[in-house]
Amino acid sequence: MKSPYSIAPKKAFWSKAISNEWNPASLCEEPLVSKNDRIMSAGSCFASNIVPYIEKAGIQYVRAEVRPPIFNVPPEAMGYDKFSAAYGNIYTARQMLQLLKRALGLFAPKEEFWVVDGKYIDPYRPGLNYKARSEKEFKILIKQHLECIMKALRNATVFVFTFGLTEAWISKIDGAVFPVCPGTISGTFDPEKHEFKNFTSSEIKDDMLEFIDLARTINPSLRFILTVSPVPLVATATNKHVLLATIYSKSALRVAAEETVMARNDIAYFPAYEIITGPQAPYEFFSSDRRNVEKEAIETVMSVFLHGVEGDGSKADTAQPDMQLKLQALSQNLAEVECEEAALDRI
Amino acid sequence: MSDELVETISIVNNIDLLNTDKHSWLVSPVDSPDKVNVILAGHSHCYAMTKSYSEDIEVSKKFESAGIASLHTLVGFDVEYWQSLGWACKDKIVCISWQGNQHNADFMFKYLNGFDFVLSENKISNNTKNKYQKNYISQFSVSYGNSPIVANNISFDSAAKSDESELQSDSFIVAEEVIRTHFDPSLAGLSGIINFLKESGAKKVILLGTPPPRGEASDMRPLFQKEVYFINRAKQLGIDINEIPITPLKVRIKLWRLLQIMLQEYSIKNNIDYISVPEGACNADGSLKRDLWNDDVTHANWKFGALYIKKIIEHIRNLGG
Repeated sequence: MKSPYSIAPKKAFWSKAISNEWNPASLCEEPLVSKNDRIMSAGSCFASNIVPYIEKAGIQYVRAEVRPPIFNVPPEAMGYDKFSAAYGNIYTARQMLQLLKRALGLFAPKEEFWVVDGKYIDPYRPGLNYKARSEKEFKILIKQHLECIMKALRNATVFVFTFGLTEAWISKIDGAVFPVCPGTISGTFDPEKHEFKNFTSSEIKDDMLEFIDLARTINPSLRFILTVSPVPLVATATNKHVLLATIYSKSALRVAAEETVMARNDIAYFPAYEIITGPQAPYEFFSSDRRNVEKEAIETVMSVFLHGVEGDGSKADTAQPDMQLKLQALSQNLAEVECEEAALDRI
Repeated sequence: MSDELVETISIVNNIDLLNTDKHSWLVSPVDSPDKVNVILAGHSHCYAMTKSYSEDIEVSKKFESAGIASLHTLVGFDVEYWQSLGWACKDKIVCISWQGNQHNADFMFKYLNGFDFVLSENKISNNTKNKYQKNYISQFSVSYGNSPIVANNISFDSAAKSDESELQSDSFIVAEEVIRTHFDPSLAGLSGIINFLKESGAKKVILLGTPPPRGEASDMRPLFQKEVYFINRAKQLGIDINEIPITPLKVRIKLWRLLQIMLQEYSIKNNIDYISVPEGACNADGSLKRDLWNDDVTHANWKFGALYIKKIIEHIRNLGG
């Protein structure tokens, strides 16, 4: 009997699939999405990069928490409004699970808010520009935020999650996980209340599976695409060299992603991590700091992600923004006219 | 104060010389500039006060006995207007009306399901209060007794409350901070004007509140119909003004309340007095009483102005001015 390798496809051999003829598109044999999909995404910084490409491809990106475009104000900080709801970057699977549990009313963190200079800070979104000015306002805004997450989940057909980190800071009181160490952006680090956690691959897998199962109680047909961010750690709290911490982190995340895919149906893994960090990747995919990912790399990743995308496509509704601009112009005209006519009245 | 300004003020001491093609004294009841004690100036909402002079003889007597004059513009609030005011204000009390239409200009019409917000406080924030404690106490102990509540209790406390049950259903809740940031640029010039007037030798600068909103959609639409320019503009934009959704009154009142709070905060920061909209001008919900509406969409009429004049005179009398 011949060896199983004798009948293995070309993609199974490095020399054939990489050394002689490398095509990133070969990593995705079937399209992951179609133009009829409605994509929701969450995850680390890398996860926000995919959004403009998705929309440019004519695929609807689910946005459930959009402030009416009538306010002349700077956008929210730190990309909070870049995602399907204003959750900003979600770095760990535990953080994603926690957010859904909060939205479902299954978990309420004891450290609900921090009060700094009279403003109410969300510890789980500490960089928000527009902070609440009272506890009442804070709770109402949070309630709306969590409702928007539920709305996004109900509306989406595909959920793309990018694993970012294994390292996190959690509450000693109730295990709530913070996006960054308290005291970094806001709040105060308290060793009595906060501790470091470096999640293992099995913990990450368990968290992600629990998240997926819970999400499917809201939207049973929701498909998932998992990716791993290729971006190395800014810093590590493990007391190890940041390079070692990074490789552990990415390895654990990659294992967790793979094991999650194997455990459930309708979950796919998208190899953004491999495209950018694999030995075949061009040196230029990372900038000179060897951490930030160059635009060329992102474009390569997205071309693979959207390779073979089919469907009629959904057209963005541009009518509403236009009408809003008209209404706003008319409203301002009204105020200006009023004052000019009042002046004429006095001649 | 620049040397140029000092020289200008010392030369120009006759109010009559300040009547130009662009800006003029609409009320100058006294026959000598020396008898002018108070100048009303600023944006259009103070016209209601000016008009009360000509509409009500009792009010006109109040103007004259208090020595109130008013400077208005025919062409807009250009640099020359404020310079004119600077020349005239030496040793006078200046009452400034500033903007007051921001909530109308930007938010009269409702986009999709609209928005709402939680107005977190109807008092000056503790931070602002603590920072300017001395000014705060002296200022408001005169106007409001010893209560630390800055706002007009009758107007604010009974106005639409901002708990969740009072928020517009299906509307998007924005943070109050978003609206404050949106309104900030409209108030940006105010500090400069206040400082300019102080440097020009004004005896006192007082900031006035602006009239609250009025009416639900059914009340407002007939008023839109009277604005020919507005109707034509709506046609140009392809909008049927009979169908334009209008932001609910409750939300407009909250926006106005926030503006008044921001004006009060400016007055504290700039160490000047603030006189709020008079008691009796508002309904229980905080909206402008029907008999005080001007025959347009946003302004109050001379009766509102008369109430305000009365309050201004009382405030100045209490100051010993």
